[in-house]
Amino acid sequence: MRKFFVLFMIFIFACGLGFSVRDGGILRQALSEDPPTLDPAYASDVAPGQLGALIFDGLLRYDYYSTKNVPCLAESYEASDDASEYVFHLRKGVKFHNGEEFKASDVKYTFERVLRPETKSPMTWLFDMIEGAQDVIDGNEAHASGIEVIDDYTLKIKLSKPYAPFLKHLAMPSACIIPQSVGEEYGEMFSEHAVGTGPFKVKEWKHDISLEFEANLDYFDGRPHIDGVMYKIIPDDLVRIAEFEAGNLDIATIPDAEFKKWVNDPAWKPYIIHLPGLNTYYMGMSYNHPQLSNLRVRQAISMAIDRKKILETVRLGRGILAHQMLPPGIEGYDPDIEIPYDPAKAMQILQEEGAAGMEFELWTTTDSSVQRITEAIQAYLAMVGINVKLVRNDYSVFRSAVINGQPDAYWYSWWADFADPYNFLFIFRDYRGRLNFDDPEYNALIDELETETDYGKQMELVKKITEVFLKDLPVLPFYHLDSYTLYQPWVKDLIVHTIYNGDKYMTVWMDK
Amino acid sequence: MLKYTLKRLLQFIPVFIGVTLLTFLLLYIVPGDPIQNILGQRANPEQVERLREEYGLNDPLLEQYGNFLWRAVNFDFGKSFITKLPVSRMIVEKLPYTIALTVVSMIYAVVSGVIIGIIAAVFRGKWIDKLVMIISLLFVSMPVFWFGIILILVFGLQLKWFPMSGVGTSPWDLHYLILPALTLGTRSAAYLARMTRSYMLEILSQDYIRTARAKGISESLVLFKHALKNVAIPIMTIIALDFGSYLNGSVLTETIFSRPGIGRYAITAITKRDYSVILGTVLFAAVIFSVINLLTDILYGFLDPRIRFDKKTD
Repeated sequence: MRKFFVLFMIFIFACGLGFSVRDGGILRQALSEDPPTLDPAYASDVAPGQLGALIFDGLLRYDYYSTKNVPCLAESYEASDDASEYVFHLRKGVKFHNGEEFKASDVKYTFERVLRPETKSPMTWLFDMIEGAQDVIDGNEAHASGIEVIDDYTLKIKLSKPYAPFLKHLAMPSACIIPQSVGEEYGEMFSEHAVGTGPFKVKEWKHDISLEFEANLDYFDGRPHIDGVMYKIIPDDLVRIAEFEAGNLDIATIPDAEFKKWVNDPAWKPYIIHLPGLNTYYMGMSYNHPQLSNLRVRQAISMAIDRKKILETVRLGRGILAHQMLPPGIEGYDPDIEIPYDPAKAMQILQEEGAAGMEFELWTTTDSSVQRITEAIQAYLAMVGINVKLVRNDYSVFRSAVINGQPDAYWYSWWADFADPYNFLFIFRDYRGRLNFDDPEYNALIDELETETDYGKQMELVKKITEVFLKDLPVLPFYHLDSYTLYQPWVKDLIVHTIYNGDKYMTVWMDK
Repeated sequence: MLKYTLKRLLQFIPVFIGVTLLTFLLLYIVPGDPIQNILGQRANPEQVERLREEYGLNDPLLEQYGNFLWRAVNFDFGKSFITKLPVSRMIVEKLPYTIALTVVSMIYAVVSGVIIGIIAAVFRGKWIDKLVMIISLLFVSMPVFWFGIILILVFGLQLKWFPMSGVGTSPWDLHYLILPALTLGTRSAAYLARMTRSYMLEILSQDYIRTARAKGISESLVLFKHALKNVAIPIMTIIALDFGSYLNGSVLTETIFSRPGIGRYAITAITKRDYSVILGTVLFAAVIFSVINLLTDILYGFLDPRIRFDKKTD
């Protein structure tokens, strides 16, 4: 009987080897440039957010399979009805990579560190609605009165005004918790000594060469299946894809130049993850321009450009045609809205408005795909008698002009900071200066959305805001860019999350 | 000789001040600043203003420049606005990779360029000369970027003889250096071959060469002792110029082959307007060029006794 039992166990074990998840292996990836930082306080870019999700944890994180927020370092939380007061119950016994225990004081330290002027963080907007935060930003106070440590495992946060998306802020890269001792020891150099509670620890960072992570075997949610992640810094996208083809990388994104080759290859079809992106590419039209400030002219322009054709040809169909600011992955997206293509009507409106033969400057960067798109826009508008002058500059010059509201029109994009309709709609209230667009009705609706906590009412407001947006049309949405990720057949259960810091590599494993 | 060297070293000071002052002013005239890059898509005028204040970018220009000079004298170029890493540490970290690539490329370029040039000169007008001229013209006018990618696809991806990216275990890991050095050095080699050939032809038609031949000296002695020595000076000038510019980075080669280096460091900083890194790398470039120029001038004296530095004028 006992012998039979042993054989039975061996049988089970053997089955397991064939089918189930296996620990081990290093996941090899490439980054196009050396990450500017690993420090959450400076994580205003995609790469620091993506890498930070592996090293650090926030109070909340994204669910691995959706854009919902779930508890992480906070085990549970209670929010007041008006979304202005929150109590967080923290997970006990969680250790930082240096062995120290995670406590409520670390949370307070981390949030206040972002606010303090000596940190010079670009991310203060994440916490500036907390009571007393502005005093810390101004350098008048060292601590924000709204962040209260009740005991080692309980933290209370009070906002100076109700702000509904606050919990979403807590899942952002810059809200990742760092240990107070290490933060105080290294200050701005924390990035070189990054320590968190996350599933991976920094093993070695050779700037401009590679960045290596190893699995945190003591992670509170269990160890990751892979032993580590190896990022090689490879700036050229053709070289990256060549390294993937040679089997030296496990994951890669497909560059435009090789898009057709990979997507149409039946052998690779099962190993491509195609994901709609949380972004919107658009052409902004400034109210400072005498004719562009006319709604009918903006509408005529929207009808004169075949955006679908531009997306399908110039952009190789790597996206979804946009008719509103919200991309399909965001709640409140309305699939029935359409901004039509009707050049004859456009021509007629322009005649009626006396705008035929008008001119404006369209500002762009020197990026080659952007150049091709704006050249297409120029050609479509020439057909209805609008003379577009393209102004090309390097990214820094371009951005500076946009921030200062200089261009008549510009080609730009917005990428989700967090997965919420608010994050796509507030920009026309907060960045008014860029287009000199200032509609009190629009601003009031955004103010309302900011404090509304009821989901049903939120969606109603989003619908209204989109209506006002279409009525004003300050920008012409073009498309939502998709991402295409290639992976090797031995990579299993890989998640490519719609939000850049949504995955922690807790599911992926290597069958090799 | 010593006096000359000291005088030249003193001349460096105005050069460095001029170069950095010009860079400093240019950075403030050109639109865009590191703050907008730090803020990303969320940048708005108020945020930009707050951070400019915190980073000291609103201080008077002269004060900022003075601070920079004072720190530079102490070999401190400040910290990057974006990565917060000390600029001098990053230059020291990247320099070995740049030096390795420069030295290997130059050795390859000089050896192959000069030998091929001499061969072409000796066989002037023959098919081998014509072949050298055509191929070298091809290589001189070839874009570095394209040549690098071709080498990667052929010798890296298809034949798998060499790695396609990275640096291996040390900056001098030859296995990783060969393709980048071929990419960077081939252009110099082709140019050197063409120059060597034309200088050789010029010198081989001189009277003293005819005299040497008339004396019955063997042809190889004529070539290598009498002719080549006189070709050395113009060739030396070309080598020094290339050497200087390679040491200041070969952005394209470094980028294609994913090698760290001074050039990539500087270019990334320029696109992001990382002021302290730009100033640090520009000053570094000025030092490199000045020193190489000085060394070349001193070398001239050894190669050609007619060039002397301490000659009394009276």
